[in-house]
Amino acid sequence: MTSTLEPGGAAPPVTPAEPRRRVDGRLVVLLVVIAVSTRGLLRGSLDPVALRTWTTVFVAIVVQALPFLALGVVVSGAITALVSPAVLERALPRSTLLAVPGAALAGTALPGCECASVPIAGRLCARGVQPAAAVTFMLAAPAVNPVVLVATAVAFPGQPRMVLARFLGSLGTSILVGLVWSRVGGRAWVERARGRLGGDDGPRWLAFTSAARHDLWDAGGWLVVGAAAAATLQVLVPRSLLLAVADQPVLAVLALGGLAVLLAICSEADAFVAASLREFSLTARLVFLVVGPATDVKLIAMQGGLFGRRFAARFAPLTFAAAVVCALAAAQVVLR
Amino acid sequence: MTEEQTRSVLLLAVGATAVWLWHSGEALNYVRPGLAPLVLAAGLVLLALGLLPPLGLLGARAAAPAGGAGGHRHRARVGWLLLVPVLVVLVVQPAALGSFAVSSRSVVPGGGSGEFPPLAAPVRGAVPMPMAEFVTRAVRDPGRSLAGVRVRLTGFVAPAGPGDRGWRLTRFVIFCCAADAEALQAVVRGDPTPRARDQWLEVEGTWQPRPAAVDDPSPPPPVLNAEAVRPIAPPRPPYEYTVQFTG
Repeated sequence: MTSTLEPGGAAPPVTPAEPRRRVDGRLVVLLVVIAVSTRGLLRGSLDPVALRTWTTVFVAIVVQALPFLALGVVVSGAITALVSPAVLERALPRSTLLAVPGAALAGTALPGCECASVPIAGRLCARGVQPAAAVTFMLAAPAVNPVVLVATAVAFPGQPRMVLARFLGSLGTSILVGLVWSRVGGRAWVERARGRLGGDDGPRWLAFTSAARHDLWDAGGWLVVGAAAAATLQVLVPRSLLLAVADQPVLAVLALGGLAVLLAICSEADAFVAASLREFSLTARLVFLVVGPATDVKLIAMQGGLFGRRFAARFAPLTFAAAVVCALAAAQVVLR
Repeated sequence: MTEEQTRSVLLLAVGATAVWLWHSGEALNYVRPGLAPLVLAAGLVLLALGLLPPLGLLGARAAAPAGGAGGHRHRARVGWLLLVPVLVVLVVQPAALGSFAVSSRSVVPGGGSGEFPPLAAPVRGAVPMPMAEFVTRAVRDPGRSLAGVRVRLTGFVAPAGPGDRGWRLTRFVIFCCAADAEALQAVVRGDPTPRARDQWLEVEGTWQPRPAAVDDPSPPPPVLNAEAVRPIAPPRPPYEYTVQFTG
């Protein structure tokens, strides 16, 4: 299912040799000037009405993600400028079995949402962090940080177990995927990330702004692709379709897992949406919370852009399955 | 222009749009107020990245990244898509979510474990309250704190569901951004005037009592018998931001 939805399919091939016709910056200026002078020209005239909802949801996802994207590229710039591969090599454990859980715990310290963690993971990889650890960090950071856990506690008042279950489920997902990926992930995507990002030396400020600008360009573009996909699915898929399966345990779990992929809600807000899906069991809603930050259409687009289409096509199903399994396990242990 | 400068122009366009969203208050159509300063901060970061030398517009004209990541190796075209939201924001200026975004089901907050706090004092003859409070008290409060109380609600007109008479007063609650919006609704009866879809209204009336549905996950929306209905300008901010009304 994920591969058919994957909007990241159009990843441009890396063909630097051929001189490409450049888009001139003056064209951008011209476009923006025209847009400003026609400001609001189409305001209120958009029909069909679904398009009106679409534009609001699309812009909302981009605007909401922008601060976290900015934070992400600043951090990834700082990693490039300040952290040398040699330092990382000394600081990090060599064994995958130690590095992966360590990366998961490190993820708890970064209060961002998932858009921030994709470029950071790419940079960590390029700086020589074990790929499995970088993947684990990418999954853990948006899912188990303090902001997300507090939001979950607020959304589920009187049910602190939900917070614990979410924490364990997401931590388990990130560690499980990291360990599995270290076996089956291959090296091609690492080389791709290193090839695209690696080797920034020279003055620190240049390295910082160069890395930040590059990541903003890449991750920002894919964010737009993902936001468009998520907005389209939000407008097209009626909620009533979901409610039909709410009282069938297995289908309910899969339906809410799938919903988390399609909606691409920020990890800091998904707990509130889960709380409102009252027709579903707590277990199914926990699956929604664990799957959402790990994989969704927006993330698949961003990961496909950075690590390649093949990566996204294998990583997304693996993450989805691991998240469902870990959420169910956490529900078994904590929620009863 | 060099390609690096072209990118700078685009970063400046995105950054300036973010700053404008914050400055004009349009950001509130998309995100909760708490996030608006962060949108400003993101805009400033983008402006800085687009302006500061050596790669930004203020740098030397021929500045090329010295083998850096933004260098010659890789030129993804995907970044151009950042222009799309900028153009949508400027040309379309999407409005806050309206009645067409209401799905078939409106949200009903759950009952908390605690008591409902006492009602606020009436202002000009009616108790003003957010839609979330009205819906929660009406549907979940076993103590029926709303019975016989004249309340004042703000929302827009959405069509009635099957079997309803009248129309539904609606307000969206968002938690982070408009992508996670949920509709809060009350069925309004006793309003003789036909109302246009999406018209914002201030409605005074009393709740039509019904037994509390403490456990029902999706009870029907509560009913308000309208006594006075007044068209108003769209409120700023357009959304509500919480559904928590019990301890």
